[in-house]
Amino acid sequence: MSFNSISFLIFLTIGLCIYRISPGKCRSVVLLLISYAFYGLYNWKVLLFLNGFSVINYFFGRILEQKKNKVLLYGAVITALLPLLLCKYTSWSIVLPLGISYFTFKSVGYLADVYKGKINAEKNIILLCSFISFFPEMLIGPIDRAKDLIPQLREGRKPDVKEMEVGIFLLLGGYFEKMVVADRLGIVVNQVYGDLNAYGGIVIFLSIVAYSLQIYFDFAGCTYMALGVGRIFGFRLPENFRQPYLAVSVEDFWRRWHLSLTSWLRDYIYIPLGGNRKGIVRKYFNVMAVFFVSGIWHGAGLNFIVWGALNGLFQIIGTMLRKTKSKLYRICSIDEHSRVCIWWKRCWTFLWMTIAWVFFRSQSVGEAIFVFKRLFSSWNPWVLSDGTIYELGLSSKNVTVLLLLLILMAIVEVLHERKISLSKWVVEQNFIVKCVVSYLVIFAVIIFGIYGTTYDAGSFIYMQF
Amino acid sequence: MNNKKKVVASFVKGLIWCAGFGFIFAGATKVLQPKYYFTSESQSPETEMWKNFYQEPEDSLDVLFLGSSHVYNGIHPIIFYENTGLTGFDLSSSSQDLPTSYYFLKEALRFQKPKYVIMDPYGVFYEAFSNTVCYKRSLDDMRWSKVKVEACKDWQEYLPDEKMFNRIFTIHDYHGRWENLTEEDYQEDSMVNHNGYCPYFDNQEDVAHIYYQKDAVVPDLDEKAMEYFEKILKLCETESISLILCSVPDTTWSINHTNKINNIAETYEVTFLDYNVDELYDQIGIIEEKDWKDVGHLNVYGAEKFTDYMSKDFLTKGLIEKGNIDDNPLWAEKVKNWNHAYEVGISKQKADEE
Repeated sequence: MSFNSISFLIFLTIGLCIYRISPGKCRSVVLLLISYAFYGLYNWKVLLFLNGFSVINYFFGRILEQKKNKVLLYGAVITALLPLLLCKYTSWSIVLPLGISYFTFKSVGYLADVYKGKINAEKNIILLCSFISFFPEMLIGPIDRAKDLIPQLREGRKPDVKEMEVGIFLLLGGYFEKMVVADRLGIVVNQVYGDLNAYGGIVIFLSIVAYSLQIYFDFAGCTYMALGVGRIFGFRLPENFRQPYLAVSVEDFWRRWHLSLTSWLRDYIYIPLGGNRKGIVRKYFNVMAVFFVSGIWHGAGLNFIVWGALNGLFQIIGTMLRKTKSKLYRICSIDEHSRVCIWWKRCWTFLWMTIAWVFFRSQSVGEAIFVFKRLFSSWNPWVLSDGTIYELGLSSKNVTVLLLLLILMAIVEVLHERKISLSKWVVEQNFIVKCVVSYLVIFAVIIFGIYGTTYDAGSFIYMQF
Repeated sequence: MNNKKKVVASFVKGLIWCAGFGFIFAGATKVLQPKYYFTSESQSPETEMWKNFYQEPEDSLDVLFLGSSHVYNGIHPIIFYENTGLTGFDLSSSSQDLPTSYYFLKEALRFQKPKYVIMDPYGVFYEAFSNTVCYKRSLDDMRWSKVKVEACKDWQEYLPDEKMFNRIFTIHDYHGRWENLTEEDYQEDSMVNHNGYCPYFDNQEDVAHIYYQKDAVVPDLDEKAMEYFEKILKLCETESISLILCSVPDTTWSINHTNKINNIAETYEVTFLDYNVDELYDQIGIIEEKDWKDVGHLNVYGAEKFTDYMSKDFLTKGLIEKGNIDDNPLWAEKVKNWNHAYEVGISKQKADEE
């Protein structure tokens, strides 16, 4: 049951009604049942696994609180990681439990925090199970922390109308980004990647840029849906994105992209490995280690490891060249903080990230290399005007709509960068404005959304991780 | 504002929002749903046909003509009425298979009590439930009732991707049409009702009849289609309707088709009149160079000749009883409208030729 399916909207409505009418004390139980129903509708056998997984982590947490033993911690972490490792990196499992990467990392974070004494082990097993299986975060994250979510679950929050409105607008925004923007870009990407031999030069360039944008709007769209659903139920979930394509360096990009995973890797891998406290060489090693894990987390293929390694390398090279670049700017009398220079850096960063995404999108390293070969196979800028771009799965009208959408999304990103939240702005307006905005977004999704009989509603890129 | 007032205010706002949403949703659906008018590019008349059918006064029709495009191109209810005094309607659609014929008949019987059903048996040769486009085109403009629900359910058994939800909210299937919208999508149809008949004035000359071509390929009879043929028979029997099979002139019809339909007619003891026998074309007066719209379909001139011949033939053979033509102002108006449309059509054709 994907967020952008009709069945989910029905599920959400019923779940919300039950949650709202249930008394405060029962809400955590009700929420757990809703989460389990969500998971059970996907696969009830895997639900048994999820429940067992949560119970084991509950007891490990309780024991770790009593005995701060490193061996015990390692044992607990390995036990938590084992199903993920077996399911994802071997052919052991028949069914890959939905969202296993997300709830495993949540659980490992919880165990580590208990061990470090950052939080107390949760005594209420219902709350811990609710935390691990919290359904808005199940499909695609964010990877929440126990210290942030469990207190909210304990409180048994009941959202007020304003909060629900924010949630609804976040949800609508998510649908828009995913179904109207990302899936439209996906048509071009799939067309080109489906027959790489048929395309070269500028067409390949357009498709790899399109993929960079597609993966962002796909993932960010689904995250907004998760945040929106959480908010409708009265929960504030951590933001996962902060306008990543407005980053001025690769390092900056990773402070804006998939924040919950990045901060998890920082707190539970980078810092325990010594972070930047043990000299520059060790720091670089730690950065590479973090990106290696990030690559592995996304998939078992070598292409994901190369993708992670490239990101690590870009970041290290960026750090190494930072002083040299600053010097160069000074020598050339260029203000590093001028608007032009910042946009130049943004474009440059986007280019590096786009190169890395090629490995992410490709089925193998070989295919990624082939994409680059095709990229430089011909110089054909005329494809922009001879109608070739209308043969990539989108009609001329659709291409126009896509370009307008990208301009609109760029404006939204810049507004967000300036701390102007559109969903908050809408909620502060009067009823008529809210109606108009909601109708505009809903009907944009209904009319311009990519869906139908051949569309796979569960095709979120990040759901496979 | 106290709590109770707040709740009431929220409830009212919710209602207003839902009403606005419903209004826009209905409008968007209406615009985006494809319209099948005979004048449109598709040359399929389903939208027009249902609109016109529902406008007919209840219990006012004596005959229903079922079948595929051969019927709406070849059987002219107004001429049939002029000859027989029986009021009729072409309840035909493009590539109409037998399940569609069955549900069309069932839907029609909610409003009409016809004495006769005249069916072109060409649908027997279509594989039942195989044409998704035909299914959507036939059902989208049919009113919602138990019949439509039953039809949708039946289709879904064979086309699992076609959900009932998509038929209720057709925008799901047609939202992508925003890029193909034409002026027609925003306009209300203003066509004159010729009771399902679609007049086509142009002609194609190089049309050859293959009736005696012994190796003409005829599809095997589909088991499912025959199941629905039996259902049609049973329904006619229950409602005391005479079912007559009648092959409308079609240049692609061969003796092999005739033989198969003859077998069916014998098995089920149904009357079958084959108007595709080569020699009959001369008697009907069909002129190869003038009376065909395209390969397989009559134009207005051919339809006039055929309906005239067929209706008289039916009377002569005692298959139908003559109705009263004198006391029907509605049909007198229809005849008048048709005569006007005919004159306009001919003038337009002449102007085009010049």
